[in-house]
Amino acid sequence: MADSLKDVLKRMLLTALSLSLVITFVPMLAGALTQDVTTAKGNETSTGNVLGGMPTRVTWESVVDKGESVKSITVQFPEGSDLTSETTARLTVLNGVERLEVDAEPVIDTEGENVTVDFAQPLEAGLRVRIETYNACLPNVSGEVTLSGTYTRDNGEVEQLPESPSIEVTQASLAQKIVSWMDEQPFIEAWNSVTVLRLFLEPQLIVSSIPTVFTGWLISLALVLVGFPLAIPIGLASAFMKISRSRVMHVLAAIYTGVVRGTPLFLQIYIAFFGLPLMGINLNEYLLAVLVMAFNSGAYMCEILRAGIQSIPKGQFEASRSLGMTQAQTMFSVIIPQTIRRVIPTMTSEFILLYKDTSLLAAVGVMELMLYSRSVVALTGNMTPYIVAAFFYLIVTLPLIRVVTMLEDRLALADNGGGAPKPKAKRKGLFGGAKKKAAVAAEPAAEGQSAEEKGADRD
Amino acid sequence: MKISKKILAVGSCAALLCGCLALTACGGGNADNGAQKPAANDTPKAADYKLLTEGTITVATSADYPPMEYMDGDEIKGFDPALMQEIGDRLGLKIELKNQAFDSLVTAVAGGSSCDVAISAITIDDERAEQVDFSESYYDSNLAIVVMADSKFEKKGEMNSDEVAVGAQSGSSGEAWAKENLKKAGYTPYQETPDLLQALRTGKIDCAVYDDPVAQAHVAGEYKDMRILDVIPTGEQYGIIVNKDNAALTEAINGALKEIKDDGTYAKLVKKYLA
Repeated sequence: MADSLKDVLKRMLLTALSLSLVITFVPMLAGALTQDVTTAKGNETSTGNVLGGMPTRVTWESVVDKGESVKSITVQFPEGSDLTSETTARLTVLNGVERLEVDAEPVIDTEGENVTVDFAQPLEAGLRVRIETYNACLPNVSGEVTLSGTYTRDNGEVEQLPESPSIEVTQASLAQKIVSWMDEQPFIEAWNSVTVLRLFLEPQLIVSSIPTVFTGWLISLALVLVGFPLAIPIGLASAFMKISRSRVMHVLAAIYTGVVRGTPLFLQIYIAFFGLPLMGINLNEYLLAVLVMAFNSGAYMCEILRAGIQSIPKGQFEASRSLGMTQAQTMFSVIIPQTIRRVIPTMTSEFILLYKDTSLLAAVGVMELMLYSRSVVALTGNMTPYIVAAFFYLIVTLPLIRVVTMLEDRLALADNGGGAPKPKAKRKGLFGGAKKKAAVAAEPAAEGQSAEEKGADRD
Repeated sequence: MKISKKILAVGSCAALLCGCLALTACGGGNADNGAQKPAANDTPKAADYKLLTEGTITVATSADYPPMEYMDGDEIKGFDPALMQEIGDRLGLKIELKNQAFDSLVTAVAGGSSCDVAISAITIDDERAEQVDFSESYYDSNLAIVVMADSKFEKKGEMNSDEVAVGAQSGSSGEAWAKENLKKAGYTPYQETPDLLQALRTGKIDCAVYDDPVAQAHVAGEYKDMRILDVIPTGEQYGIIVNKDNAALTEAINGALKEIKDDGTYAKLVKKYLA
């Protein structure tokens, strides 16, 4: 085992050595400039890929070799690239880590698709040159592209630049194509000329940020859909502890709900994410996120369920016990079924709260809806992705809020002695509430068998 | 009964809408007033530029970046605030500092309703320059890759691997560099630098990429358990950002900056905070 490992290591070392030799010497033979970096900034907001045919920032970096001096450099973009009037270039010359002021300005040739820098003072050996070209379009292909070009020595000799490291380019996606179509529409331009509309509702950004924000939405939804069911048993167990006659149990549950409900979720997240790893507990961040959400929600759930259980008239406990049911039977077949019905609206509200609170996880780097949209905002400096995110929060919360209202109305009716309302009692429109109440009031009270009776009858 | 309710509802909707419109209208009006007020000011310098509060430059900064800017108790201190104070003194204006997240600074200045300028070790960059104006540069910087002192990594070449987790501050030049140059590595953004370093300390990320002067101060001070793996020579420059509609203010700041550099105050500040 150890031998084979040694072997592998040896081979790796050899390969690395020979590779580094090649890397150091080949460009030296080729010329006076060593190509160091050629990269392009990711311009697809959702993946960070470099898209062809879309503006991006291309960074080109080289070091002047020993015994050479360079007077002028031309960086040639590959065929199919597009440098436009919006393209700008920025030159940086460094000696080691120190920036030098040089008397030179990059000139962009939009016809020849290249950037040229003429140095008033020839660059000496060891200097590092960086040319950043903003708003440059690389060819719209899938594959690797390289930059080429020429440089002029101090003595006037023109040499070819060594081939640059390659940039991986991806063909523009459908969303990106829609965006570039939108860029050319006059009505969208008119819309965007209003600062408020552009900053909050830029059509191009709506389209391009939807795929990113959607990914975040799925994660937020997953977090709450796993976390919330986990919170129910925690809440139920602590609710039992809280109403139990054992003092210890009661105190334990009271401490749990007191501390969790009395401190902000934000703080709990920070403690969990930065405290646990300090203790040597390293959990997957999504798992940890779910656990924190469940732990937090469990405390609220405990209070909801406790209140629900205690809202059932005491007479029912006594009646069940006198029918010969055990305490557990009473709890699970008589009390809990009624409790569930009563607490569903509050639980739904709790679900909505928990769903919204997943956004707090953004602060500790859990990639969810909020963080995804924030990353696009940080990239573009535009509020639109937040509006898109708001939309994604609302498509979950608004229907649920409606459900809560509906359930609460039903419950109120049932508690007023009307029994469970008939399912066909529909609400018409937003303001049809008055009509419905009148209709239900007319309904004979005896018609619906109350859930209480059902529960009691079953055993 | 039913009808009156409906009318009420429609009425309240309309009232809400009117309210909103009135608010936006007011907003526009205020901006105009703001533009005119300083014009009435007697100092000739202040004649052209607009400020949110008369006689005061409202400055946003992300005070989580010692020694550039940091909280000392409830006061914001550091090189940037001190430089801004000097600029304010020279323009005869008060300086009011506001602390806010780094990735919201450009947006805040572009929006123009919460602050006049932002100074927060912001790298001059043509993409940001599309949204806001930059002053002349006031400091040259580089990026640094910071790892734990006992990290197994030795070279920056090792970081571009799918087994490495990289972190940076959201919206920073470190983020842009990491995303562009360490494509294979997993990337996590953090909103505040202390969170980023905490994540590094707890092993959530293997390295953090941020500005070299700040990293130097960190590893020499509070974060002795970390080391700088490599300095990335980016030669980036810091600038103060100003709203695009406020070119006169940018000019005034540039003038003051030049004075500060020429009369030796700048060298003193560098010595005090960054040496």
